[in-house]
Amino acid sequence: MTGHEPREVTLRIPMLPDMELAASQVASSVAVLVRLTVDEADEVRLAIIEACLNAFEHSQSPDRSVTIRYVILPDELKIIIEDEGKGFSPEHPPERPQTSQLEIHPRGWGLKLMRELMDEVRIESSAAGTKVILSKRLQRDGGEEREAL
Amino acid sequence: MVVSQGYINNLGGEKIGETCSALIEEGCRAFILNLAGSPVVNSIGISILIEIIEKVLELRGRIAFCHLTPTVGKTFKIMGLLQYAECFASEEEAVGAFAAAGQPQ
Repeated sequence: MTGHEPREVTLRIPMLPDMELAASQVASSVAVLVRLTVDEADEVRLAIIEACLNAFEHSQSPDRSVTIRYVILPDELKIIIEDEGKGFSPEHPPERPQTSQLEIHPRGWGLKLMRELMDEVRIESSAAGTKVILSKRLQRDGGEEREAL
Repeated sequence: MVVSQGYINNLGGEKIGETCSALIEEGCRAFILNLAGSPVVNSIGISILIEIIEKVLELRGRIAFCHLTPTVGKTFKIMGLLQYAECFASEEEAVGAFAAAGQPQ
């Protein structure tokens, strides 16, 4: 092993209530492996929860499932959340905020939160489905741990 | 004082909302929400917290959160909740601040 091959964990969850927590729990294990701090791990978990919820709510995926891939690279943890739904334009998300009396938009925060919590967020969407790619840079030398996967 | 336990999603948020509504009916106007037992939230649950804040402020009440994890605090800040609700590190600090203003919780 050179330590440079990507290591990957794949999880497929049905679009059922609270199944996003399963994706979040796997993220916790991966976060320990790559030595994320507690706060970094929490950020990754919340971003994954939001990505899964968006897929659950908006994708209309015929197989009603979401696949999550956790890819461990030498300097980056990449999480790919994929559905086979109808897709959307990232510039025009399906759910637009509705202004409350407090001028806080109660809904439509998923993408914004993902972008704030992760180092990079990419969205690839078409009529065949949506892929949300979340990236967190790995700050420390976790080579030995990543090699062990 | 409202102490939450577990995931704040739609159901968790609604449960907090029901508890706060019942307290409002009893005349309570000052709320401290202790989220120590809820390190995991989602935006749907937070949207329900926004409704609670709105309801309390409409009644000229006061609402604060305590024991937020850094990520939950960051999320609340991003979503703008902390413009309208205060945030304290601990229950004691929140109670102290409310007591200093003469507000029972």
